[in-house]
Amino acid sequence: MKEYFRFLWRCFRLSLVGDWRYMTWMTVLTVISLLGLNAYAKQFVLGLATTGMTDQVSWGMYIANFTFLVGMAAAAVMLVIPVYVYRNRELHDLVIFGELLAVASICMCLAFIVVDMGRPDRMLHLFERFHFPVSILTWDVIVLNGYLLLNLHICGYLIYCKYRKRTPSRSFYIPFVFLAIVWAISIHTVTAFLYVGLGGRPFWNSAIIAPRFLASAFAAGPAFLILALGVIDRFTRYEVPARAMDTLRRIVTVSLIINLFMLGSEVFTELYADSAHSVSLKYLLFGLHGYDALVPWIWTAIVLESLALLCFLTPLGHQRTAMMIACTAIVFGIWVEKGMGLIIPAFVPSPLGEVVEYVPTLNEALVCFGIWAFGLLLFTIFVRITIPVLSGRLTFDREYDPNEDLEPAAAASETLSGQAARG
Amino acid sequence: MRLLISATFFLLAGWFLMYSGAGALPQFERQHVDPASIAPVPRRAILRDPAKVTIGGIEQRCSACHAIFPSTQDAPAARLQHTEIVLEHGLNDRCDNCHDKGDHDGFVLYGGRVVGFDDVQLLCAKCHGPTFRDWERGVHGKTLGSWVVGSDAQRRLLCTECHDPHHPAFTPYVPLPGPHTLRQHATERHADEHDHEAYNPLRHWRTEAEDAPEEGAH
Amino acid sequence: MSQTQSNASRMDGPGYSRRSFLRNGVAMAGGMAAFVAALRPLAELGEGALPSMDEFLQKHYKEMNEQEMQAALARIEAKVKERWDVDAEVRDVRPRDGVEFVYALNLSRCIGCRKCVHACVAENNQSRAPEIQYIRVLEMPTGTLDIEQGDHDYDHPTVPDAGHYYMPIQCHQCADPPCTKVCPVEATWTEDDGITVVDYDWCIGCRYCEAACPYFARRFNFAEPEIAAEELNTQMSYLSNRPRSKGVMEKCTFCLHRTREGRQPACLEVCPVGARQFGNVRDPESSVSQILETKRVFVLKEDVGTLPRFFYYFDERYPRSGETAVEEG
Repeated sequence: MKEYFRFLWRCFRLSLVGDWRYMTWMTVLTVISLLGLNAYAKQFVLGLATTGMTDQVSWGMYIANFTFLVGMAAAAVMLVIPVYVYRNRELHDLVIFGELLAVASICMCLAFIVVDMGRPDRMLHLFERFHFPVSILTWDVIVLNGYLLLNLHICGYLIYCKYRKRTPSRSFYIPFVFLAIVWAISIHTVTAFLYVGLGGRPFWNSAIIAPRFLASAFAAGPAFLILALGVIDRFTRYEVPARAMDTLRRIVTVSLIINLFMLGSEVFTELYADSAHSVSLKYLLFGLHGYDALVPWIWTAIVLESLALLCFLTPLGHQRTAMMIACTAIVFGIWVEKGMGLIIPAFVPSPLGEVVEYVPTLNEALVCFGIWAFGLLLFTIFVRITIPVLSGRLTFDREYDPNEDLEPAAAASETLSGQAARG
Repeated sequence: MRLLISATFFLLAGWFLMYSGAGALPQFERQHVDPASIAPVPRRAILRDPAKVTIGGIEQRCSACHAIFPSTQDAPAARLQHTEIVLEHGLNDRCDNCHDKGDHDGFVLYGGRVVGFDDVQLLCAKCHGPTFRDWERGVHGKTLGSWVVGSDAQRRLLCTECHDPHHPAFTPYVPLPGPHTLRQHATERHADEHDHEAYNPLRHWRTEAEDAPEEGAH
Repeated sequence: MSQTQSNASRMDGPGYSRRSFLRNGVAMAGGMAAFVAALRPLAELGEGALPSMDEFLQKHYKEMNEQEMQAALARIEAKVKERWDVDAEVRDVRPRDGVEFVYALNLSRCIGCRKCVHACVAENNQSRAPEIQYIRVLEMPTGTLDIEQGDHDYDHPTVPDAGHYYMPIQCHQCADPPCTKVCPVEATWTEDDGITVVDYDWCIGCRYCEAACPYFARRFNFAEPEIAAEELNTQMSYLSNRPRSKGVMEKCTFCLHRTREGRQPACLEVCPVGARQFGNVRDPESSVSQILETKRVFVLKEDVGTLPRFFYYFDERYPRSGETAVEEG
């Protein structure tokens, strides 16, 4: 037990040291997080009128980001399947990165929910009167927190075992891993059902929403993971096997094809019949009664996703730089498609046909950036700890020098500057 | 490096302390509505039995004058008195359709029976049968006080408490202010499209005159 | 623990100079300072913004016993006194036995004057800034029942306007409400007399019910509601018109503080043309029962399956009279 606390202390200290790039990145993220915290403090004092939400559009950026991030968390399982189901040992270590991304994403999701609540001080009411199983929101509370605990356990156990140079006991994590595969699908399905179950919003009340959620999640999540692994590959001594990037790329490609197909399917369904039910989709794609704030966003997203898909379908997609650009385009495109393309149009027009457009305020945007920065901060810290442990350099029985994990050139410059500073 | 980081944090802390109070929300527009316009009172104040009017400073019953002065047989056209009354009651264009020629304190029903102001609904029922039957059941008109049928607190308004008997059609009202919700006009409309009637089945059969102000680009 | 290990974590170990310690310490202090300073706006929280211990421990409406309810009512009266310096009477008005409310609205009569909207605002202590109105009157073009074609912002010199009819929409107190299904904490539910109510002290402000409602009936307090003391209606009840705080939902409650005591709702009493009828549908003699029997009633969005208690009907025999020379009202 004492050893475990020592491990945690060492992790804490480790997260505070690194080369100048690491420190700059962490400082920038911290500053943005604090700006977000400050903006939230203002919102806490003044109420949700500091956001751009209204009675007509009562869910905005916060829920949009929440939806996207639940997808990202679910996508961590995409690495678990090839490793554990298809016994691909090479990618074993990467499962942990995926699950750490899931943990960071779920933390961000929970943060977005808290900032969206009108009375967060009444959160305990969830425990006192829990409207399960009728309210899908209660299902969401259970599955999200369960998923968080599941992943914390799996990663925590595997990393700590590596740190202690023990072989992990299979019964302590294999069943949980398989549970996590199913659970990951469930978190995003339940989140989709939050929207699908509302008969009063025809834009959401469609069976395709849940599969579309999963398809877009399995495109955006691995794409983000490719970006993260690319950064790890470039800036640390950890070498990401090309096979891993390849597997992820293939997953992204297939998921993107399915996602774009479903999008096309929805567009055809709504627009061919031209009934009054398609008014929300018309608002999104073409504008409604002269209101067209979302139109440039959704078309940019569609174009970006299509171009990224083309890139991946050609040999160009094997090149590292092109792949990074394409993945950025995918993450951004799906963020727009899920957030602005899915949450906001359901509120325009209102159930009584009123069009009130939603524009996030600066305060709201700061809170969103703050939570994203905090999530990235968490993920960076997790990676910062995991790489030395996985590479065997940070274990319970030896001292650890951070310079060991940097690229040789960077390490040299660090020791020089470090010596100069200390000298 | 560490110094730079410390400096950044302290500067940020200073900035927060100096400039970041909670601030204030934008001023929300307040609409003012005259409380008199939403008072739950009957539209019209009516005479009750025994009905009296004030003429020359003295309260008198209608029969006080009408017992002395004969009324014209050709009312309302050849009136000398009560000329301020404009009679616009559809087919009902004679005063003596309602006012009894013999007893000017009351109203005449079919068969010559005379009733007072307190039973004016029977007068209206002469011609407005279906509406009267609806009124009897509480379906037409207004009930103040209580929804409990037969309770003492119920106050069924008589016909004339809403309808001016000489001019029963309601005159137009000035509408009270519409909604001014948060950020209702957060963005601008970029085109003045009015395709409200896009799915209106009647749009093909309206006259051009009606259509003209509303027809959009559809 | 080996010697080298303990060296690494000891502050006076070989890798740790005093300058390094200071720099680390200062950076940490800077971080802490920035964190605390970021919370500066919280210093401006008003007195009533955070719940008192009693409020925090207050139970759900359905679980409070008589004593706890009286304590809660007393708390609310005290708060009203403190904020507006006005003596209010807050009661817990219970449903009557054998009563199920239904509302009927005659679309042939409504002229769109919006008196009902503002009478409701006055009766239910709704926020004036930002404005909250439970009732929304739609100006509909004749020939369609599609409420998406309604105009909410009509502003003619006089109403009714030719070629239009008017449809006021408020909470329909549905018999199968989607809003009560989705609330994660059961802060909203349907009472025995059919009214869907909100426990303002239990709501967590997630706005899922607002997303679920097909009729745009629910309102959220995005900011602290603002009412002037002279505008306050001091006859209040726990589940309906007592003042709400920011961050909670609210909606039309068929004026249950009035109707459960036999009185008419405020919107009905102010309607100048008698378009509204209200009563107990279990009483066959009531006007609403008669209307359901004899008039061709319909409900909005019937296909969504919410079973509203709000029925609309037309009973025109001839077109409404137009402009007249005599000005009234």
